[in-house]
Parts: sequence; structure tokens; C-alpha cells
Amino acid sequence: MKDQVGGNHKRARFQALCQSLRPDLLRFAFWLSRDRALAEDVVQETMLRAWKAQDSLLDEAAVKPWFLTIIRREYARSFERKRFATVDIDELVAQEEPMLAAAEEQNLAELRAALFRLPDEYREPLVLQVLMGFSTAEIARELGLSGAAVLTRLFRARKQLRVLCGEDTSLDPPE
Amino acid sequence: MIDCTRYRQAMLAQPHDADPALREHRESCRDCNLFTERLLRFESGLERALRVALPDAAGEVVPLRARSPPRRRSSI
Repeated sequence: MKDQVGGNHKRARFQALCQSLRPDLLRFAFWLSRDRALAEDVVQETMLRAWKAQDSLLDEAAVKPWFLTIIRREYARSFERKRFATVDIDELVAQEEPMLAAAEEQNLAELRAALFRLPDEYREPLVLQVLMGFSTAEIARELGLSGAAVLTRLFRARKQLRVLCGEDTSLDPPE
Repeated sequence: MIDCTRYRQAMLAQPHDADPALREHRESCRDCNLFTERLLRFESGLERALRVALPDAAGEVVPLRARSPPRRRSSI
């Protein structure tokens, strides 16, 4: 009886944790995959795996990186399971238009389209930093890079993004 | 003392970096101050752009365990 109460409490706590993190995880998966349906599948699968592996989460403060690691693995697995056809970026942008534009300002839609065009190796650290609030050290750990490599990618990501968005880059530094 | 190139490179990598050396340079350089204003405006747009609207049910967590089937009413 006591075990059952403890189990229920644990389950409820974990479910609440998933509930609070899910919007950010879904956004992260979306920017990773640039595909809403795939992002939803990846996050759902992540939740199931996280549920099964919850005992391996020793520090609740580290829950976000823990989930992101699972998401990145799941996303990689989705490529193993299915070979995706090469898609034109313009088609990709048009396909996800409801999520990208969503009745917001035109410049936001342009920025989102530019994010779609950014190479994966620049988009991912940028999303981790800006959306997920990760420090350089956390991004480095998550992506298996050095801190210097992360800073270089972040620098290049913003530099490219600003060019893609037609920003005034006259004061931007050279590489 | 860092120069303009180093300052702008550092800011493009971490626009909210609170390093005192960066702040000191910004306060003493008009161009870098202008660069920072533009960059932070861009950054604010970027933050909003990444927060895409989620589908209606996105906040919901699909139950991890299947619900028990509904009990049958006993026929009297």
C-alpha cells in the first residue's frame, strides 16, 4: 500500500515535470528537425524513454539537459528508422508556415525562415542558448564540443542570420 | 583592453555577456555602443522568433500509461 502511494506520487511528480517542460522541448525538437509532426513524435518518444529511465535522473536540477540529450538521440534514431528525402528549404518553410508565421509580424516570419536556412551546426547551439537558456559550458557538454568551438558557432550563427535577414551588418566584425 | 573586433565577436557569440571588460569597452566606444543597440534589438526578435506557437494540445502530456478500460455495467 505504502509502495503504491509512493509510486503514484512519483508518477504524478514525473508527469508534472513533463508537463512543464513539454512546450520548450517541443520547440527545441521543432527547431532541430524543422518539421512539426516529426518534432511531436520525437518528443512523445522522448517522454516514454524518460519515463522508463527516470531512475537514472539523479539530479532534478539537471532535468532539462537530461531531456535534451534524449531528444537529440531520438531525433538521430528517427534518421536510422527512416531515410528522409532531401527537401528544398523553401518547401520546408511553406510546409511549416502555420507554425512559423502564426499571424505575427512579418519580420518574425522572415527571421524564422532565416533560421530554417541556417546550417544545423549553427542553429542547434543558437537554439540551446537563446531558447533553452543554456550556458556555453552546458552547450559544449550537450554537443560534445569545446567552449571555444561553441562560441565560434554562436558567432557565425548570428553573423549568418543577420545577413540572411538583411540586417545592417556594416559594423559586424570579420571572421 | 579589448579592441572593437574582439568586442563585437564576443557580443555576437554572447549578446548578454556581463563581462566588465566588455562593458568598459562599450562605454568608451560610440560605434560599439551603436552595434550593441542594434544587436540587442535583433536578439529580442530572435528570442520571440524561436518561441513558435505550439499546436493547441502541445501543453498536454499524453498519459504515459494506458488508462484502464471502462468498467462494464452489470446488467440487472
